[in-house]
Formats: sequence, C-alpha cells, structure tokens
Amino acid sequence: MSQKPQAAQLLIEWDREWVRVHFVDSSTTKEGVNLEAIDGINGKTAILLLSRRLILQRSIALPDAQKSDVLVALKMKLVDVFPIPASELAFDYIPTTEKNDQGRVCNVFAAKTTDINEVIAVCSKFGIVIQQIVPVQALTLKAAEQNSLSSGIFVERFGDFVNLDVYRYGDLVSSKVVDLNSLDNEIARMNAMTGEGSKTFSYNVTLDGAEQKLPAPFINSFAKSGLTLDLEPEEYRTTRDEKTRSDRHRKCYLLFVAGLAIAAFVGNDYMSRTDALAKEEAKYQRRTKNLMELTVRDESNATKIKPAADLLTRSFEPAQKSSDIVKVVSMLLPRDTWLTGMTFERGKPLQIRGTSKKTELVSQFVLGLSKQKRFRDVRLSYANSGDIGGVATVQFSITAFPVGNLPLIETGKKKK
Amino acid sequence: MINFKDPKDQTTSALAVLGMVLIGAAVIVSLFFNRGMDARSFQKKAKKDAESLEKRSLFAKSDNSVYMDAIDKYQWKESEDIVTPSALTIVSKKAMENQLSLVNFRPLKSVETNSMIQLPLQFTVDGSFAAVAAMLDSLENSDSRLAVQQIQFASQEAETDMVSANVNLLAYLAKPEKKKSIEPRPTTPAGSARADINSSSAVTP
Repeated sequence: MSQKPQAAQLLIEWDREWVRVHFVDSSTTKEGVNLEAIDGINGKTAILLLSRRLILQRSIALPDAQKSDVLVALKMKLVDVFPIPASELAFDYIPTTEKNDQGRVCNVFAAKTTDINEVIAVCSKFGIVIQQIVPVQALTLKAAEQNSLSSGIFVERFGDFVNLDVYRYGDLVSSKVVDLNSLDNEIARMNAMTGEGSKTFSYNVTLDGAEQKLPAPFINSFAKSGLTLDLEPEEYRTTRDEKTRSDRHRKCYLLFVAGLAIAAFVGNDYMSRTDALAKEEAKYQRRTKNLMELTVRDESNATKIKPAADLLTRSFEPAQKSSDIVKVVSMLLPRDTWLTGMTFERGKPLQIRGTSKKTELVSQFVLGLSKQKRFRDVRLSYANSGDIGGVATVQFSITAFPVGNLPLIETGKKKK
Repeated sequence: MINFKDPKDQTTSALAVLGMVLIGAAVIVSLFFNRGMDARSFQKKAKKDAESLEKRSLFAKSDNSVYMDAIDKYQWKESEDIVTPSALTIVSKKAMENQLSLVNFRPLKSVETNSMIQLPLQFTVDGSFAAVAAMLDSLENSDSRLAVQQIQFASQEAETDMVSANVNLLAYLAKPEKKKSIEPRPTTPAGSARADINSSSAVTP
C-alpha cells in the first residue's frame, strides 16, 4: 500500500521573463509574463520545465552503468564540463544509443541550484508542489528521436521570445532563447551549422515557408515523452519526502488512535453490558430461587397430603356407594326370587346368594345384572336344585364386580 | 500509507495495522458478541421460567386447597377415645331412625398409615332389608365421616325379608403431633430423688 505520486496537474515552462502553463486536466495552455498573470494554478501539483536560458547542456560519454553510479561519476566530471562548481549545480542526464571508447554518449543537463530554488520559491507562493524539474529542451530531444531527425532546427514561439534547438547528426548542438529581432540572424547562423538537408520545425513562428509547422508547443508532448530525468535539488526532494512521510505518519497515528478509541468504546460498552447482564442474571437467580422455594414447598405439601386426600376421597366419594349397589341389586331381583345373603366389600367382587322358584328366573337375574353398566364380570357361581316344603327351588350364587370399587388402602401401611 | 520496507515507516505502519486490527476486532465484537441481544434473550428466558414456576406454584396451591378441603371434610380431628363413642352414637341413631335393632357395636384395632390413622368399626343390625338399605343410604349421604368398608347381609327367616346385616365402617383420624422427647435432667444424688418424685413416670405404673 505504498503511496504513488499523484499525477501532475500542471506543466510549467518557466523563464524569468515568460511563463507558459499547460493544464493537463483541461488540455489548455496559458501564457504570461509570470505565474501571477495566470489563473487557476494555486495549490496544484506541477512538473517544472526550466527555460533553456537556465540550463547548461553538453553531450559527453559516461560509463555504461547503473544510474546511481553514473551520477557519482558525472558529479566528478562536472568540473571539467561546466564552468560552475558541481556543488552549485543540480544535474541529470539522458543516455543516447551512441557508444564510444569512453562509454555511452549522454546528454547532460545542469542548472544552478540558486535558480531552481528561486523557481521553487515562486511556485511555493502559489502552493504549487513540484514533482519533477526537467530541462525544456529535453522535449525536443524526444521529438527529434520520434521524427528521426538527424540535422535540423526546432523553432518555437515563447511569448516575445523564440526557443531554438539545433540538431546536427543527431546531437543537440545548441539550445537557446532569442528575441524576435535577432531571430533571422540566428536562423541563418544555425542553418549554416546544420548544413544542407536540414529540416526546420516551427510552432507559431513564420520563417521562409520551407519549415514544417507544428500544431502545438512542445510542452503539450510531455506526457508522451516519458522523461524521467529530474533536476530537483536533493534538499527539496528530502523536504518533500519528509512532508509526505509526515503526512503518512499522521494518518497512521490517526488510524491507530481511532482504532484505539473505537476498541476502547466497544470494550467499555461490552463490559458495561456484561455487568448489566451479570446483575440481571443475579436478580433472576434470586427471583427464581425464591419462586422455586415457594413452588417446591407448595408441591411438597401437596405431595405429602395427596395420599391421605386421595384415600379420603376414595372412601367418601366412591364411584358407586354401597347403598346404591344394594338398591340396584334388589331392584333387578325377579319375582319369585329371594336374596339369602349378600356381601359387599371395597376392592372386592360383590357376592349375591339367593333362592328362586325357577332356573329361568336365575338366568334372568344374571342377565339383568350383566346388562347393568354398574357391574362387570358378572358370573353365576352355581345354581343348585332343591326342595323347600315340597316346592322345587333353585339355590344360586352370583359374583359381580362393581365398576370403580377401589380398595381403601394407602401405600406404606404400618401397624400400630 | 503502510510501508514496512523503509525502517522509518515501520513503527507507524505497525501502529496503522494495529489500529485497523482494533477497528476490525471492535466490529467483530459489535456484530457477533452482542451482549445487548444476550441480555434481551436472557430476560425473555427468565420471564418464561418465572411464568412456568408461577404456574407450577399455582397448580400446587390449587391441589393443596382441594386436598385440604377433602381432609377437613372427611377426617376426624378428635382422638380415638372420642371418635369411638361418637361413632356409636351416630350408628345407634341411624339404626333407631330406620327401625333397626343394633345387635352389637365393636371398634377394632386401629391401623396407622403414612398420614392418618384408620379406625375400623364393626356393627350388626337386625331388621328388614329395605330398612338396612335405607340406613346405609343415610350413613353414606350424611356428614357422619364414617365410610362403609364392608356389608354382609344374611336372611333370618325364609318367609320374611328380615335380615341380619354386619357392617364394617372406617373412621379416618388425624395423626397426633409428635411430642419432643423429654431430655433427661442432669443427675445429682440430691436432685435425682426430687425428679423421681415430681416426674410423671414416677406415678405411672
């Protein structure tokens, strides 16, 4: 999740006497004598293209090695290349495809750090954050490559001035800014330098008519150029990086503090709710305990007295009272039939003994008892023929079980 | 924002990661360990349990009430010494009312159950079958607190409806409260003699 540099919103071609600003988002270009004359630039990110007048440029051979190593070697060579001490210069290079005995031929660009600091200070006034500082003629280097230009001149109107870049046999031999009055002389001199067959490309400048017109200033082609060189001074880069790092750290701290605060809040809430739940549980336990004690006491009492109550109910509120059974038996007794004995006991079958004049009457009596829902298991135990005083009789015995005739016992009887 | 490659950023990156972990943990705790919901479900359960217990208690009270009614209605509170003559009075009265002759009345040995004392009473009456049936009906449908346990009829004469009825009744007596046993007093030569004179055991043969 490393932070990527934000794409530049502005391309600023800066000279002390003229400024051209290209707005990347709207693809519009504005020009003025300085940045104050241009609207809509405040607080934006920018790539700064330094004017040719502020840039020192040479083609020299450098070791064909990693860029960091090459920069070290270049720093040592700068004393011989430019007339300003290396400590006062910001420099970078663009390697070419050409090689010689000493190494790869490179276009070296340098600018005085005081000039760069001046530009940075000017931009800072508008809150502009500079992402890259590029020599503006590097754009024509790329244009020459793309147009396979060996020898020729790039002419570009720049306010009251004209930018001139001269290429001979593929090398950038001269790069300068001239005023309009001296343009013809400069063009003639440069044509002489480039020789026969050279081409001229121009933007917004009319020459002898043989030149090839360009539709837009070179600043518009920056995005396509893919230039990576950067003349940004180390201290500015460090400051910018530190600022970015500081922003990053602030966000990290903020995230940590936010996380801590949220966790503390949630933790506190969780603990409060847990406490509340524990209190609720304790309250519930107490209430349940009290209720349970009452319930158990009531249930225990009920269990304790239930057998006695059941026995009493069974004794005094039986399914059939003994008097009812006696009444029913006597009502069902047929004529010419007499009862001689009857035994009724709780929990046991009813025993009926009697005498009848006819067997049929005994049968009728048994059937009558059987049809009654009050009795079950009605059985004739015996029916014996006899003779009483010369009259034929039948002596009988019947057993029947009165429905609901339960014994009067309680479990766990003890003798006194 | 998070960069562990640069040593200068490692501490702050670790703090940022920690911050995110804390936020994530807070979200997880809020979503999946919601004590508020636990409390609500617990309250529901507690309410349900309480209602169930109250219901049980109510049922038990209702049962108790029914059982106590039965006991109050049918159980003798008096001792056996009082119940026996009272039963004789009731039986004798019922026999007279139904023009029966009470031949004998005999209390049998009482039986102690877990919760009560059953006192069996036996009596014999002579008279018409209808009168005996009427007496039984009268006994069972009164508040005599005497339950009919057994009846034995036997005819006396062949040509009449005179019968001899042997009836067993049951009276249910409440168990007497258990008295605490008297602790023996500390014995001293002088005191023991005095205790012997005053104690009930001394006069009881």
